[in-house]
Amino acid sequence: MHRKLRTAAVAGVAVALFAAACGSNGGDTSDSASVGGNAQAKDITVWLMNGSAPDSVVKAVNAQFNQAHPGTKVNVQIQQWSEIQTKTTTALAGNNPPDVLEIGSTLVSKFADAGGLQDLSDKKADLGGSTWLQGLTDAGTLDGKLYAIPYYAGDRAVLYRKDLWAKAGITSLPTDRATFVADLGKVQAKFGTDKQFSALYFPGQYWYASLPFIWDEGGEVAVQDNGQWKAALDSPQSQAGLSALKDIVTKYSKAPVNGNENDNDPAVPLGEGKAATTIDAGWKVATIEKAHPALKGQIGVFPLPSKNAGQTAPVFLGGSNLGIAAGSDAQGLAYDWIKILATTKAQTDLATTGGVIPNSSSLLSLHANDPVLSVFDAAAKNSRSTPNSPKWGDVESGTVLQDMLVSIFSGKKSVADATKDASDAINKTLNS
Amino acid sequence: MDPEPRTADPVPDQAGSGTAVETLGDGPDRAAADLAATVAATGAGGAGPVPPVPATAALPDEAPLHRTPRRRATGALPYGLVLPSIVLLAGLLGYPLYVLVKTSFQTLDLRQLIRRQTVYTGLSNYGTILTDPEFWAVTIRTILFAAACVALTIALGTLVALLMRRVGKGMRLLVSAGLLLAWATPPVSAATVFKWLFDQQYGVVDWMITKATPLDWSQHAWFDGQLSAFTVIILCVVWQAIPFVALTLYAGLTTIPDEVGEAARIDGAGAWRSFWSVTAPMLKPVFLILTSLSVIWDLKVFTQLYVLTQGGPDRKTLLINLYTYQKGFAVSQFGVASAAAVVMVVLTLLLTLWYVRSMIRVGEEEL
Repeated sequence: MHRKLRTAAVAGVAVALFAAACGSNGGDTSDSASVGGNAQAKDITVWLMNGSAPDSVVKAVNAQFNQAHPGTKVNVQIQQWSEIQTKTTTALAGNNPPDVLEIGSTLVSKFADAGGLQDLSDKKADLGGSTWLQGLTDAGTLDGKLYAIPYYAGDRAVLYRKDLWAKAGITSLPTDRATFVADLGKVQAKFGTDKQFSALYFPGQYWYASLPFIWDEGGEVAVQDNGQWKAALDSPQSQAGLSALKDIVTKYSKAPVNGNENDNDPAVPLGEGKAATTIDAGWKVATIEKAHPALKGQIGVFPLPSKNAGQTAPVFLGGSNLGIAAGSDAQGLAYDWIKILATTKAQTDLATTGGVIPNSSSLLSLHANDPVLSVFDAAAKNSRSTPNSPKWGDVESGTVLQDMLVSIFSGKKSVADATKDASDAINKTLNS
Repeated sequence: MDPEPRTADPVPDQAGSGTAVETLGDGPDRAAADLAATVAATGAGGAGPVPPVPATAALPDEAPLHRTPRRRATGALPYGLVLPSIVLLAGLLGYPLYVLVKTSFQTLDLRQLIRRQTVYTGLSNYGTILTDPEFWAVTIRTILFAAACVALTIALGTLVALLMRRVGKGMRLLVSAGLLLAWATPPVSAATVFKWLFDQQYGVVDWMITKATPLDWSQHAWFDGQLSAFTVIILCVVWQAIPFVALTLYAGLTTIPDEVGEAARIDGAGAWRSFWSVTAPMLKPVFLILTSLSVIWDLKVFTQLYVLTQGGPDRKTLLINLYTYQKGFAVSQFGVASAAAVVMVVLTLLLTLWYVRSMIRVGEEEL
């Protein structure tokens, strides 16, 4: 019978052990910590995104800010793009939100609609809003009111390894999609003996880089009709674009079909010579050259060619806006800070050292002599964005486009079925 | 048997059994109280070796004598001792649960959340959830997933425990250390490591399969198919669940006297037979607890899934916890997410009740 007692004791210990395991297995990913700390009104907290302004620009802005407000501490916190919606939601709903937030241009209307951002409409003239990029201004505007000011823009173009393309016998850059695909074929034929080699590295969930193929055929994600959104991914034009992309991806990409551009950063295989081409942002060129100094000058860029010879495909114009949290207890200080970052001097620094497209059309000539950045500026002239709906953020975080692309590229669904499912989901989300 | 009461350590024994039963029986439950009395009586009497016979029957005079003073002596003390746990549980478990249930009757989207609005909508969130075909697919998938994880965890954990009984002291120390390390690894780190192990491009698993076998699995995409993605998730979950099961079962095994196994061997039982007919029945209470806890644990898997696949490809590895999370944080419908969470709590509660009942039944049979 002592055995039984001991068995019972073991059972008791088991419960205790389990409780301990639970403790370590909380799985708590909600991270609302460090929202301003116990900020006195004298300090402001600024959330900037990873890869937005270089340190030097932020330091210069802070220095200028501190001249006007000595003794005020600016607490700049760099956030990661993945999970940013969750974090911003938590922060804006909390008692002590960050005072200034950088918000991805496609997400402004979501947080503005919910009442999380301060109305900045009457500050537009003071901030030099007359020369702002129209796309970013529209993104920051909801129902005629300005909630987040343009910060910077970014688009994507084709990045390629000059050395590898030359070895494959390609002498001139493609100016239409058919030639581009043929060139990829040559590169794959030359280096394809390495089973990991991608002529074009394209992770399956990479929807930013997929949209140009849809738009180039005349397709749309969704169109507005009488106040209702109507998804158009299942239109013949959109399907044609996706079919063309599927053909390219299945033939020339060895990137994980279920991967995304964050976890499977195209810059890595491009730098390592496991890929010859990808579609990415301009600042990635510097990233690759920094990781692989031997490749200095070997990464070329050109705009994604259209199916119509001599034209470029419309690209997705991303970017960021700057907003002030409605719940901020230091709105005046926050405004003074974003005013410095939005002005000509900081924007010039941002464009030259950060390599992004500045927020004002008056500054677009800054990149004229840069062989890489001028290409991205030129490509941005033929650019689009996602449907400007407060519900669009839900489509993004609901991974609707990503799921559609993965099932198309993996062959799990036909293009027709996948686009139909995605359109249904978008109709439901945008009109809910 | 041993008719002489062991007087050397009656007090620790009583205390030990008393707390164990308190934890399991949960208060005024009639059966649990009976069980407590029985255990306490046998503990004190040190007799009653025949399982089905209650201690009171074996020692008609002694048992009541022992019982009465103990009841008086303890009085309010047990309640005082258990009070801190109750306060903690009410604060850390009860209050969130209350908020969860309350939220499940509200429309709480991003707008209401940021503007601090409270909008009650009755049962509409439950309607949304229960009529969502994906919810049912996810629920069934979660149950199957948990079943597979539990079966593998218990089977492999048992094997490891039996192994630890057999090997020498040094090797046992090594195995224990390995188990503890696997257990101590934070799930996020473990899942990240597994993600890299099974990476399509840089994964060491594909590389090893390609090197060690005639198969060419370089570029094999583990996360592109539902079944192979689940294989990795289950491996990751089970790998971390085995240590708890193995260590607990090993502790259980040490309570079985060697003579029992010896007797079985003399009677001609092989290893298999002696495990199923002797060892397993003796460890039945331990197995029941481990199984039930594993069920609860595996039903609520989130971290590994979130890190490894995020429910992909095409939502085919979505489980109920991640589904709830997506309803809440991805599309900002916290009311709907709360309703889904409540449904999950009910599901888990039902399974827990089943487990408590089973425990008590076993107690009645064997003690």
